[in-house]
Amino acid sequence: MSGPSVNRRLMLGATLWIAVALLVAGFVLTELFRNHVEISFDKEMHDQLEELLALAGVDESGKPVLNRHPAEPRYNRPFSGWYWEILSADQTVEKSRSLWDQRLLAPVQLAKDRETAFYLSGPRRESLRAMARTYTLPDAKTPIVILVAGPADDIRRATRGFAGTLAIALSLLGIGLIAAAFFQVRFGIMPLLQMREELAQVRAGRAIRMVGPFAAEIEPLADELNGLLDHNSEILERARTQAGNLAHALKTPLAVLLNEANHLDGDVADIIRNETAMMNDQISRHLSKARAAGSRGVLGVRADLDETTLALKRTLARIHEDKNIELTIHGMEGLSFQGERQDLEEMLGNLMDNACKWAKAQVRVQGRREGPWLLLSIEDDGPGIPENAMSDVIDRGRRLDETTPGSGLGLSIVRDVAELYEGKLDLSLSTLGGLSARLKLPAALQ
Amino acid sequence: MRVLIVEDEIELAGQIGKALQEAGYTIDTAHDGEEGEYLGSNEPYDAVVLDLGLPKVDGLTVLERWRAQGKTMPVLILTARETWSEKVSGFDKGADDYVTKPFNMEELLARLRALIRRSAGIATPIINCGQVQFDTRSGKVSVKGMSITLTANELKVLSYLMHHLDQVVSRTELTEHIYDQDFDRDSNTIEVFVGRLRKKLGPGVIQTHRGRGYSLTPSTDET
Repeated sequence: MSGPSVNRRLMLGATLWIAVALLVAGFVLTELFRNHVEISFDKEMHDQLEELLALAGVDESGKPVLNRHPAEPRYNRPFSGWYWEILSADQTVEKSRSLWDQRLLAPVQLAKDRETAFYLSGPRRESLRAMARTYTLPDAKTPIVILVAGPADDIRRATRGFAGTLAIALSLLGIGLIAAAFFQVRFGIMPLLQMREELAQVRAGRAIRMVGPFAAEIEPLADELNGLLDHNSEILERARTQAGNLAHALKTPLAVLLNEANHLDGDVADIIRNETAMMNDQISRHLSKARAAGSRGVLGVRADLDETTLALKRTLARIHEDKNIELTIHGMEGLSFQGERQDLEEMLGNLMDNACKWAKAQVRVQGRREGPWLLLSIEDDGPGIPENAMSDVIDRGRRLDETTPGSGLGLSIVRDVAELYEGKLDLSLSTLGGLSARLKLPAALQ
Repeated sequence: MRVLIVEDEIELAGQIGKALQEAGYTIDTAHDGEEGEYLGSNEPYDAVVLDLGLPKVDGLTVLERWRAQGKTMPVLILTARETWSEKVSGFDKGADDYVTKPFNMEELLARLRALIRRSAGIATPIINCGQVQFDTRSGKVSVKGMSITLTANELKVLSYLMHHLDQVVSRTELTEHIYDQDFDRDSNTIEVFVGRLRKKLGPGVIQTHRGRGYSLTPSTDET
């Protein structure tokens, strides 16, 4: 359902950019270093060229000769990697002892009047860094080419050593940067986490709206949500007021009609009585449905079972004062219904009142939580209802006994409201002897 | 017994008033919350029938204000809104009983009778005082088992005294609870009614406390 988290997106992006930037930096730095090493290497070979040039001369016949070999031992050890050679018209005039019986081949093209640095393959197929220059000695018939070479491996090794150190340094830097990015992202999305936390509070019914303050970017979102929440409760409030007004507007004339009918005799009076009773039931039923908020998952609602049942107990004790009923409530501590308190009061009020009407002496209300559901039972020790009639009682809102009016209607209203919350109402026989009404309703998040 | 009816629907207020009068009560009627609150605060009623959906000031607020003023008369709430949350808040704000519209007048009367009785601390619907027996349900009075006939006003005086056994009830108090607010309070008719009652109930049932009033005490020498 949900896409990749903002956290992951930001971290992925940051890691990618850091890696690319560090790789490029590593590459460029290594290249620069290699260049630098090459330049110093070339400088050394340039000195060697100068030395050889100083030692070179021309004999009487005008042929180039070397007055003496340079003293450096690395030019004397065979195949040491360090070589020099003096050529004249592509013929070797002189060469270092280190070359033994081999010779170096100068490149065909040499720059004029300056040194040319290049790579070539040595007598043992090793890679050499070489430098050559064409000189024209005074009195010489032909120009000579002096060539100096050293192991290119030295450059490579130095570069590799540098690259290794650089890699470690850059890796550490990379880790540091990613860690910094991590904290930055955390810090950056903190307002979102805060909003989520507040929303959870609202969802669980512990807050009515989101308080904030929120970051400027998400403030509008919070405002919209708050607006929606307010709108919701406003609509509900209006529906309830309207339902109440309609009840008042219809039932007062009904009361007048009923009272007038009671002064009359005969069929007409009966008809009026029956019809007003029916109208009253219809009004009660439909208005109670209109009033019920009944949408599970509506934000910001929860009702405390303990409080609600105690308030109802207090009220019922007054209503049934003459009956002296012992009404006991068990297990409601800590239970909350995820829904409107009025709806809960309506359901429990009807069931508990019903139980009190029928009970001989005892009404027992019990509650417990099972997973996401609340299981409530309301039992009495009255006459109960025959088992085969139980479904009829709820289904048609029928009155089983005309002397205690409205009991069936009450049950069907309870079922209607419970179903709006995806809950359930079941009737069975109580161990107390009377009716046991069991109500299943969604529990509020802890 | 004097009862205040606060109901904005004129027709219904009239019906209740008529039924209550027929049952022997003295009534005052108010058609909005403001007037109702004023009467309830300033007149000594034995009970109030209070509609909740009232113009100007709603019934629950009226009730709350009375209780805040220390008025303890029993209040029967009459309402078309029958939600439990309203019943709960109604009782929590000091109502004594509750009748939803539409209702049977007999039920309303029975509830009212029970309320008045309970507030006077009487448990049963039949009140006995020595040889005199008074049935609050039917308004029938008998002496030594013999039924006697009383006029409406005599019944009102007796009913009030029966609800206040062993208490000295002043003439003013009797007047206030027997006549409605428009009655001329200077009249001495109370004495006439008490005199006639004495004849019908036999001597010694109603005692006169000079300068203080009357009382009903079960007399021991009449066994």
